[in-house]
Order: sequence, then C-alpha cells, then structure tokens
Amino acid sequence: MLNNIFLKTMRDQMASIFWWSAGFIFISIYLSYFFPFMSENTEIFKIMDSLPPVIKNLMGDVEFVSTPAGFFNLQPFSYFAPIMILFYSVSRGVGVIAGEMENGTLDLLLSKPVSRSGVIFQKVLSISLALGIIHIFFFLGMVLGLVLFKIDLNTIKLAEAIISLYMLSISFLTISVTAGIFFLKKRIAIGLVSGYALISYLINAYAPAINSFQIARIFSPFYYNSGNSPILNGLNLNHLMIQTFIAVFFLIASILLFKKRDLYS
Amino acid sequence: MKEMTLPVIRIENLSKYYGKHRGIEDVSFEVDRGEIFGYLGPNGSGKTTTIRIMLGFLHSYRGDVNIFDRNIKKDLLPILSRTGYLPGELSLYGNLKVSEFLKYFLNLNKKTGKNLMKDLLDRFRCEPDKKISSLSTGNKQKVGIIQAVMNDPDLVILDEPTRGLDPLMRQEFYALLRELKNRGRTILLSSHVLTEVEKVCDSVAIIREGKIVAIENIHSLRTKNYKILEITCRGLMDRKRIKLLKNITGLEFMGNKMKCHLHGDIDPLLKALGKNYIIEIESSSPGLEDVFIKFYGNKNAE
Repeated sequence: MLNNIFLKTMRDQMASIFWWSAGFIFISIYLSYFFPFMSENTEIFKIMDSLPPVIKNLMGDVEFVSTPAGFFNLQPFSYFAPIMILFYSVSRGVGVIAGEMENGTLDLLLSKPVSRSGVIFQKVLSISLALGIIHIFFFLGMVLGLVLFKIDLNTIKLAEAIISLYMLSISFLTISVTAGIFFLKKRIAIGLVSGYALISYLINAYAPAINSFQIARIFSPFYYNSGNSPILNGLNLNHLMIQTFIAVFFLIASILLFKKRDLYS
Repeated sequence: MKEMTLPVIRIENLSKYYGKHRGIEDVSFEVDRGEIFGYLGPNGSGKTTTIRIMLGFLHSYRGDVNIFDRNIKKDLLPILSRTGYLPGELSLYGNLKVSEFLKYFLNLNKKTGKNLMKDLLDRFRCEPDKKISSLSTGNKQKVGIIQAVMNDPDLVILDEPTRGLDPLMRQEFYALLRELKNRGRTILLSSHVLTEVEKVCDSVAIIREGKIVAIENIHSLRTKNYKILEITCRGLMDRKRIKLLKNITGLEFMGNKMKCHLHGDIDPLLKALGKNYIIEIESSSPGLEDVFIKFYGNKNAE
C-alpha cells in the first residue's frame, strides 16, 4: 500500500472509508425503518402545513413527502447526505496540499522525483475513489433498507441520485484542493469553502421561494445536484456535464496554481 | 565523462525577494564532484532559501541553478532522482512505522536501495518496527538522514543535519559523510555550527543577510578562526608578556583568570604563562556570528 502517492493516500483513508460507509449504511437503513412512521403520521403533516411558506417550500409538498421518492428526496438527499459527504470532501480536499504543508511533510515529498501535478492528480484520484466507495455503500445501504422494509422506490433513479451526489462531492473536492493550495493553511481554506458551501446551499434551497435567488443559484453546485431532484426525475445530463466541468476546471486550476506557488518553509 | 569535469552544482547570480524583503541576492557558487561543501550562515541569512530554490520549492527572481549540468527549471525531476535531501525542519508521517516510511520514499525515488536502507538502519541503531510518532527528536532525525542517503544519491543536500543527534550518532554521521565523499558523492551541508563544518567540509560559502560574503577552502577558514580560552592560574600572570603575543586578541584579565581569543597554536601562550601553576584551561569555539563580525563584518559593510 505504499508503492506510490495514490496508494499511500488510500491507505491513510482506510479507516475513514470503513466508518463513513458504515455510517451511511446505518443511516440509510434507519431512514427506511423510519419512513412508514412518517408516511402514516398525520400529525407531522399538520405541523409541516403550519410552517411559514418559505420553510414549506424548502421542505417540499407535504403530501409528496409521504411518498417514498418524496421522503428520500428530502432526507437524506436534500440535507443529511450532501452535508455529510461535503464534510469528507472539503476536509480531505483541503488537506491534499495544505495538510502536507502544515504537517511539514510536503518538503520531503517534493524532494523526490514526483511532479507537483502528479502529487495532486494521484491524491485527488485516491480521494475520488474513496468517495466512490462510500457512495457505493450508501447506495447498497439504501437498497438494503428498501428491501428490508418493503419500500417501493425506483433503484435506477436512486442510483442516479447517488451519482449526482457523488459529482457534487467531486466538485467540492477540487474546489477545496484549489483553496488549500491558494491559502496553504487548512483552517482558512476549510472556512472559506465551508462558507461558500453554506451560502450556495441556502441560495439553491430558497431559490424556489425567493425570486432574486433564481439567477444566483446557477453559481451553486447544489443546483446541479438537487435542482432536478434526480431521485424523482433521473439524472439531468446538462447538470451532470456542468458538475464534471466544475470538477475538471478546479482540478486544472489547482495544478496550475500549485506549479506557480512558492512553498516557504 | 563530461560530467566528471563539470561542477555538480553551479549557482549563478541567484536572487529571491519576499515582496520587498530580501531573501537572497546574487548568490553564486560552485560545488565539485566528491566535495563536501559547507553552506554557513546564521538563522535567516538565506541558506534555506537557496536550498529551497535548488530543490524547486521556490522560484527564483533572477539567476540560474544548474545541477549535474542540467537547469532546475527544465529538468527538475531527473535532478531530484539523483538527489537526497534532509530538510532543516524535519517532519515525518507519524502514522507510519520507520520501515514503512523508508520504503514509501524508496518507492517514490523509483530506485532500489533496500540494502543500503538496512545497513543504515543498523548503523544508526534505528528500530524499523517502531511507529514514527513514538520516536524522540534525535531518532526522527536519524530516520531523516537515512531517507536522504538510502538511495545512494549522487548529491546529498543536508540542512542542519545534526539537530537533535547525540554525540555518538553525530560521530557516526560524520563518518557516513566521509564515506559518501570517498565514493564520489557530493554533499552540500548547510549549518550554523562552525565546528561541525570545520570537521567535515572541504570548502565553505558563508552567507550573510542574503549575500555570499566569502567562499573559502576550509584550511583558510581554520586559520582565520580562533578559540575562546579561559585560563585560571594560581597567582597572578605575567600580563605584559601575554599582551605581546601576536596570536592573542580580546584579552581580559580578572584577578588570577584570563580570557582571550587564541588564533592558531597554544604553545606561545603556555610559554608566556611561564612558571605559573595552571589550575584550569577552558576552551570553546566562537559562534559563527562572532566569526562573521571578526572577519567579514567590514567586508559586508562595504
């Protein structure tokens, strides 16, 4: 596992991959267990119906939430899953270079015959694979929950929703790598990317209720993840292409920035 | 064959600024094959900046660095594949075992040097199965030294290499440097410890405030260097006679004690003390800054 930077990065993530996958499996099964109570509980609908219109818009149509697709679109795909997966993406992405810099190990690494672009490429590839594994277990956990509690949900569309979420996580991964290289300080980069994630999340979430957010949401990576509600409507190829563009754009930007960057001790 | 006659390191007019602040200015020197070259200077003088440019960590504002007759801007990776490096502020991957860490860096070098690694582990009494996070500072430094030379590189760049090493391991390290030199390897040793440089280096460049103030053969540096002596006698010394000695400066008398800077041999001083009963002689080397002030202060001011 220590033959190259890609494998070393995988090795460093082994425990995280295990626990994150286990967490997603657990929460997926738990949500499937919870769904029948939710769909039959009229009290919750009454409470939801009494919420202010902006909040109601954010949560979706009350009756719709009682269907499997509506429920899972709301939870985990609108709240829990993106927030959790971004936590992984941002922390790992920022750590690609800024983490090595803060640990003081970047000097040793770059004193070996490995190119700066190679370091970024191998690390990003490794974290992308780890995220892929976590998403696969997320999907398997969801399917297991649906089977265990006999919930009728289109698994193809479920897979498409998870692919869309995966692309969101990759977008934020490369954005975080770039921020990490720009600041070379983990805390600042994490703060900045998290702030951007929060603002862009809220803009996308409130856009249906607030007109002035309609244009702004095109700058939100969340729009290209959840704007089309892939668990209901399947993947939007245009959105998928934009997500891919964001990921590739920031990957190239991070490589170009890192090549130019002076690395002080 | 061409490379045999060319210097391994050729640095010409290298300059680097940090915004408006000076990093280094017009640094030039050459290091030949098989040479142990000391790069001396106090903290913040520009040693590490020079090394970081040589390794491609920093981009120079002006000037050229050629190593193995290749320019670092064009051929950095082939240069690095033949270079070992020990950073001044060493940090290792604490979650790895010593052997795992070394194997990882061997793999990154894309060369096999496993036998050398094992020999070095034995030589520096490193336990390969220990986790790096559990090692003392000195033991981490030993691992750092091993990773720098385990590939048998043609050039070794060492930044403050003996930091944290105990006296025995320091001697072992000096012996290793001599062996590398005998095998034709080139070593650039950056240090602010003059005694260390005197011990192992063939020649030195001295950098002060970002500028090279001297490039000298170590013999020449030795003759310019001095020892600080503190001598305690029973009874008063013959002060007039001692003051006449030409290889004594900075003379101070305090009762039955004297303090001075001794340049060269001690014999004339002992003879000047004559029949005095000497209780104690304490000898120490001056700090590098003292040598700067003494020999290069005026030159630098110009």
